[in-house]
Amino acid sequence: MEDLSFIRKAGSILFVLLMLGDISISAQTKSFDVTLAPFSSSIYDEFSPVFYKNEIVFCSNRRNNSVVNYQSDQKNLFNIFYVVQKDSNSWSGIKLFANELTTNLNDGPVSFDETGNTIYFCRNNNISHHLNNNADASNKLGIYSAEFVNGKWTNIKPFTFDDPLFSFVTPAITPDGKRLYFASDVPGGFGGTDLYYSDLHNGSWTKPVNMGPAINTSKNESFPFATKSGKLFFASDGHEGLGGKDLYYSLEVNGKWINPIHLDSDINSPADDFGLVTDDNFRNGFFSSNRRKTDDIYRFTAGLVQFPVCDTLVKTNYCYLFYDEFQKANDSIPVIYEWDFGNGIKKYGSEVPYCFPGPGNYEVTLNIIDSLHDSVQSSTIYKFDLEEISKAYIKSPDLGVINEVIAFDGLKADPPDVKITDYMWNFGDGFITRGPVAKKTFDKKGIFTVQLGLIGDKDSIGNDTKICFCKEIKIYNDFLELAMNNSKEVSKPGKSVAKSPAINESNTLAIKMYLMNNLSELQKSKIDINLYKTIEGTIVTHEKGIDKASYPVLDKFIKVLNENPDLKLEVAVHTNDKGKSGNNLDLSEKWAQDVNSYFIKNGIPAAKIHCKGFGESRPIEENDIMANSRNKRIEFILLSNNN
Amino acid sequence: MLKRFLTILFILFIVATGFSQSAPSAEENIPYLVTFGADSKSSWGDDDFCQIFFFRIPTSQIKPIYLRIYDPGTGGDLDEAKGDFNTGVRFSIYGGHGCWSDKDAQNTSPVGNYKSGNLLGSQIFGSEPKYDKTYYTFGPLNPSEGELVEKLGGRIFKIIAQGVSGDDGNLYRYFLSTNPDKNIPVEGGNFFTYKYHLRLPNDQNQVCQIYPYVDDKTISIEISNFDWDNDGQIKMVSLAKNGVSCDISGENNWVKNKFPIVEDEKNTSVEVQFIKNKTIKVLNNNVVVMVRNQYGLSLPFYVLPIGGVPIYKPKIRMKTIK
Repeated sequence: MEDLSFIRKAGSILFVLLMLGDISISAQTKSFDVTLAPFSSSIYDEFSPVFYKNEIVFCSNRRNNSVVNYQSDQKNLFNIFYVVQKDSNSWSGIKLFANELTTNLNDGPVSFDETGNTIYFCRNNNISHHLNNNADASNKLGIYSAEFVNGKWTNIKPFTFDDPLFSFVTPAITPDGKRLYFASDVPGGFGGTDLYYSDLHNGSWTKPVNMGPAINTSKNESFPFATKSGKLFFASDGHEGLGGKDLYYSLEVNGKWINPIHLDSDINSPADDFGLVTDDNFRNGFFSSNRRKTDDIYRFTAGLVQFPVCDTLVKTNYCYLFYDEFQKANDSIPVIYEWDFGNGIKKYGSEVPYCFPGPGNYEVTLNIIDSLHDSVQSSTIYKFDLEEISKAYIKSPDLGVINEVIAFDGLKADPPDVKITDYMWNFGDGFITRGPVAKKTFDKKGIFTVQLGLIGDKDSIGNDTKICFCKEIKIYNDFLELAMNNSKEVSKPGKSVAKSPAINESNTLAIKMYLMNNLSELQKSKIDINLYKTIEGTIVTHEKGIDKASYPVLDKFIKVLNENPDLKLEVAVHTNDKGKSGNNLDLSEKWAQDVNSYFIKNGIPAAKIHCKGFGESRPIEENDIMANSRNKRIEFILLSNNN
Repeated sequence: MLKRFLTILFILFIVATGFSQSAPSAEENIPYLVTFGADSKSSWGDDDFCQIFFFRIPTSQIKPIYLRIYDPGTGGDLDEAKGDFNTGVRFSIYGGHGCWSDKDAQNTSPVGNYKSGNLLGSQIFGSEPKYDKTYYTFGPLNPSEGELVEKLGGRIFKIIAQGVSGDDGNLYRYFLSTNPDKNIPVEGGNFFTYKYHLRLPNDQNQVCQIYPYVDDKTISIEISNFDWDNDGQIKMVSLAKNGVSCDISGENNWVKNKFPIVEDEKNTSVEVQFIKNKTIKVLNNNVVVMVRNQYGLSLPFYVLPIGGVPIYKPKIRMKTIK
């Protein structure tokens, strides 16, 4: 009969030899306080704890009153138990979790979705076997689920893809119940047990997907646990670690699982460490370890990590000044230096600045034009590779608005010669959030400093390497405020459409066009060529919306948006203070909606266009006779879609 | 570029029709060499009334060669009269050991043993019209009569044009040929000199240039010009310089400028451009130019520039903007 020991053998022997090492490691500055859970015994094995309501549910081979079970080595089989925390220091007695989930063979580990009404658990596939069949290795472990109905676990059924010939173990359901992670030794993996996932679509589980070489190794990966924020904790004896099974976590970034991050040495040890469960912030939780010879459950609490120095980030850019080293002030042939960047952008001058979008292979051509004969005197191609700039780096917007989720990515934080073992974010409340990526919503306007602390390998005297850097992010009340403070107006007064009695100053909106500062040179160039230099006309309004005389102007924006998928457009419509305030707001919103509808009707995806009316609330100057026409305006703000 | 393209086309045309391998060459766009009579004033544009040119014949050339002089006399339309023509100019050809290698031969002044080597032929031309706008041919010359100079890649002959009497300016050209009656180029042949006496074109839109060769020992050059008057600008162009201006000499006066030579310019020809004055028309301007290295040694001007016409090649650099 199969039990979970087959995926936990590695590392056990090393345990005794390395106990001293364990002690020395645990004596270092702690990122986590780790204590033996009071309900762990030194006689029995306890492992794979999970949260369930106010209980901790776990596996153990302790004796229970309902069944008599033991293995051939005279150790009992594993069943599912639970304890209840009564207060911060005391726990209830250990009880069998549910009779209806208890067999006379192996049961557990388990996993619950966030409703607590569905359980996924592991058990031997053939539960009718008698005790004398315990040694039957063909009775593999499989994954089962059950529903909690009327106080009992019912409707026990096997996972769709269970195969009696292979093991399907350590299930972990995501909190939303839509993805099931598990370990299996089915053929076709990378070796040993691999981690797989299956998604729930329309009530059915999809075919399991191997999590790939970033996660799986030729050895064993198992004991997954998924948090709400997307972190996947698991155990492996194949990745680089302290010995035996160690705990790691990974998460999916841009569709790829990042290389597993080895958990702090306060948690990992040279023995087997596995079966971790934590809150979403990885602040508190439990894990399993056989560092005391028997499998035990340990409790961990994140310590308050301090980073004494936090450097301000220098923003990474790829901006360079191009020049001709030979060109001297006394070179007097009348020539024009034309720098062709190969993407339609040409700049003129003996020295020109240019910002590249990022690393890559580039080619710049310098044409020296004889201005007397208007002919190219020489043409020189300069090829070069821009390599990724290796320095601490937080990838995130520099600007944001309140109540908007902002993503921070520390994966580019790549200090040379340091292997990062932990990422800690401080959004003003201490280094609480862990992980290479984090999300934050700011609820007030202001300038905020975001710190990223990196913990690296221990140095030669056993201290953690700590690196910290920070960046500022400006938060605005809304996007328009953000745009107005971080863009450059480039519009020129629109030429009026042919005058007709129906069109006069009172029913037109002055056009103002802004380019966000963070647009790339290529984006600015395209806008300059296709929009700024060609836009004519104005926006004509009437009581019901935008007059069709305005369409030629809007068509220019549509053309630019269609040709530049990396651009999006924010439109703000304003009135002056003539008329009633409520009416003005309604009117501006109506006009904004009309503009929005015209864009969408002409194929612009809704995600690329946002139009809003502000009525008279945001005059650019005090309303008077002269300013009325200037306050009544439409603002087009072009920004990068990649923000 | 267009100008150069047309120049190249013109060169190809000349090669194809046999009008080639001349001094001055098509690349130089110089109308004539000039030598004044011995009684002339140097302020007329000739500091020493003596022009020394060398011509190189590759060792592969074994058949006889000819040196042809166009309009060798001093009379007629082409030459510069100072009153009635009364000038005699002697053209002498030298070969054999020392014709180039004697240190006085490479001197920029006709002093000492500048007539070194074996005299192979000599002829004085006066104002007689016989050779107006036509050729006088020296030769046949046996190539083996030249001085073998391995570092120059062939056998070297020398031709000295020296004003012996009178005060007029003799304007002429040389052609190297394998035929006494036609200009058939000697393959691999070339002319060079250490001091260039030349007549500038009268057309204000023309640009002339000469090509000193800079060897790998050169770290700086000194460009000297004589009697430039006020006829526009002199600029230096090379792979690494795009028109560095030289000071221009006034009437009957030498002026010189020193320029550093960078690595990219070594073992290449540089170009000294003569750009005519666009606002003031200066006619019949004669000028003398020479270039010396940091040791004071004269650099040779090859009429067919070694390594080709230098075209400025920018050295693109990029530096981070913070």
